[in-house]
Amino acid sequence: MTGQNTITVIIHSGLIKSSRGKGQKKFEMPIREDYRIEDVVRDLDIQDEKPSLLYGLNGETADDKDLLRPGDTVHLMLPISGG
Amino acid sequence: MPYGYHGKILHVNLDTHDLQIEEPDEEFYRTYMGGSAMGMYYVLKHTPANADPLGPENTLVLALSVLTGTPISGQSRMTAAAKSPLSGAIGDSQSGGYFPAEMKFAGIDALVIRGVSKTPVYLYLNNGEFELRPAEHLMNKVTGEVEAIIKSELKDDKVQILQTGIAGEKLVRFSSLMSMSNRANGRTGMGAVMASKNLKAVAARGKLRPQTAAKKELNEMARWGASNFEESDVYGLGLYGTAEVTIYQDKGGGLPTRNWDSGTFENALALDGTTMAKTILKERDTCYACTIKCKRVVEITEGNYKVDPLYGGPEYETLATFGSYCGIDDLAAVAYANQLCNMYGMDTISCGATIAWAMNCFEEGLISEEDTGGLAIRYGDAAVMVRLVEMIAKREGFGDVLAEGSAKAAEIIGKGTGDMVVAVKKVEMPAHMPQVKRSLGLIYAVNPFGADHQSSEHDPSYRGYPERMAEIGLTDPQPSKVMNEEKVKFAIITQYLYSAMDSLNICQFVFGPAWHLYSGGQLAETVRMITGWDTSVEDLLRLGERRLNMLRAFNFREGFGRDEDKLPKKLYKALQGGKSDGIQLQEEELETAKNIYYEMAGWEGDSAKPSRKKLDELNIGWVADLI
Repeated sequence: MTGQNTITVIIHSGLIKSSRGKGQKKFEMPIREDYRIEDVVRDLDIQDEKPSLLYGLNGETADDKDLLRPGDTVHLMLPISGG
Repeated sequence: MPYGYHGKILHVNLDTHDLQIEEPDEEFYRTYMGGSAMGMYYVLKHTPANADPLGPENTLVLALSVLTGTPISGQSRMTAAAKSPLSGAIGDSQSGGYFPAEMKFAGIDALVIRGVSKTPVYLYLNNGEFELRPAEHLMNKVTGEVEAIIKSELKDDKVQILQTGIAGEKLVRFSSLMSMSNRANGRTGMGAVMASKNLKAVAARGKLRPQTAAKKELNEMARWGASNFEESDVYGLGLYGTAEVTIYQDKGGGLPTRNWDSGTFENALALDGTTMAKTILKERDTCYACTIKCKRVVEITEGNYKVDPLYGGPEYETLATFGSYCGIDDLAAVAYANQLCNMYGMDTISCGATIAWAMNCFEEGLISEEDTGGLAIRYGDAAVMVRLVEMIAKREGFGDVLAEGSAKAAEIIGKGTGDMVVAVKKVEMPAHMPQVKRSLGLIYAVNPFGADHQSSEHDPSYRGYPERMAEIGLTDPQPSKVMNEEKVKFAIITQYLYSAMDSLNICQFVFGPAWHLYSGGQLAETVRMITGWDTSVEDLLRLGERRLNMLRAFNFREGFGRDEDKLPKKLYKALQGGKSDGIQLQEEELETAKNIYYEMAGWEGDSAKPSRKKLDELNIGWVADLI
């Protein structure tokens, strides 16, 4: 799915199986008005991971309250364990 | 024609100021490849048994590898190896930045430094020419100032400088080697070793790049890494640095708090990478040719703790040791302590952990203001923590005792303070807890240079990355909190791979067996592309095993055996609070794991000594003659 009202979501290991991304690492999602990163987390059903979740937005650090625009790329990550 | 290396080792005799180039053959490079294994070759050959770590007989080796300076992420790293003044066992420390690549371009593969100069000197490696220069004017100055003076007198802003700081000059036992004023060969006191030789710094500059055997293939591998980075599991390291893990550790009950009495800190969020990103982060920095940019640069211009971006920013380990270890949630104070360590040249792990030990002893009433020169050293007191960092670097007052490290300080003070020490082989433990990552306990205990979190893969990865684990023969994933025979196998095999990575001097965030950008198999491919040598993952595991046996042999000669492979008492006490509440290690579990480990390693007898058969098998039979 590609279109004017979509964002690209990249989810990293540890989240792939538990999310509604159907096992995909990178996919597009439609967005609504006033759609924020926390809405992505909710729509992918990974709220349980939220205390440890890290967010990226267009190559920069991000907050779950950040507002999304069409064409944005959102990263959802868990920290790696051995750094 | 050699690929990946110059075939030149520079021997520096500081007694005579004689500089000699040795040109080892290809077999030497194929056997040791560089870094820690190459360093151990020279340390074992040139440092006699029972040498004073701060005396002329100790040999300091700064070694690069056959990969250093090539155009792929994660290769600009250098090993410093010598007998450790902190432990009395082998010392071994790795660092990245731009110095390693520039040292390679200056025309050498390693420096072997012996003796003591009568007057302070620094070594200038300049495009195949080498000289010792006076350094009296560089003494007792902070690292940033020394960098500026050397660059000015060499009229070269791009010269890269490795130096020992004021703490090294004061022989602080956990003093570091610093480059760029913010990259540290931090662990095991290599700064004090270099300072004890009256060698203040090494400056490097050059254009002598070794040839690469398969340049086109290597470029493709580098492009693959750059294009896959965004979807890799190290992407978060780029955005948030190693501090990304603080909250994750805390939620899992694995954030060492108040000198390891707990695995959870009530205000861990204040020390997290996300908080740093929103507050004091100025920019992200990287090492030569690396795409990840995991280094933090912070700036604080107001308040009690002003931080200059020149001195970088705190890593996760630093945030934990000066933060949660000490019960401190003041990010600015922790960043300032990090700056002081980089200015004076001290290991942030040992420094923070030693202060946490002192706080623990004070809170327990084992030491008082009589011992500390009037300082009340309590958990949560950021001002006292910062004051102690200064006092340690300059060996002022009670700082003179703490500059010995927590284990030696406990020996000096007595009064039961040894029970509060959280160290292995007198090297303070890093901020990953074996209580929740069980195989780490075994690796912390047996690792020749003390507890180290970068010497094996951590337990969660076995289940998390089964395909990459299978590349190194690990096919039976286990949960994080169990310790069984398969876990010992996981520990030792990943230890061999990490040991190889320290000999190839590559970054463990870039190459590795699990979450890394490149896999172990891709590392073997990269070695082949650069050197032209057919190299398999098995060859790398064997290289790692060879290096580990050399480290072990050095220790055996110094009287370190099975009895020194032990964990501190605190780890056998139940943790308090959070997800790890009530969890403790069991001595019997560790001893059983050690038996399995020694058998797998081919180390024999009560002392777990590397056998002649094993050393012959690894093509280092000459080491057996030393022990």
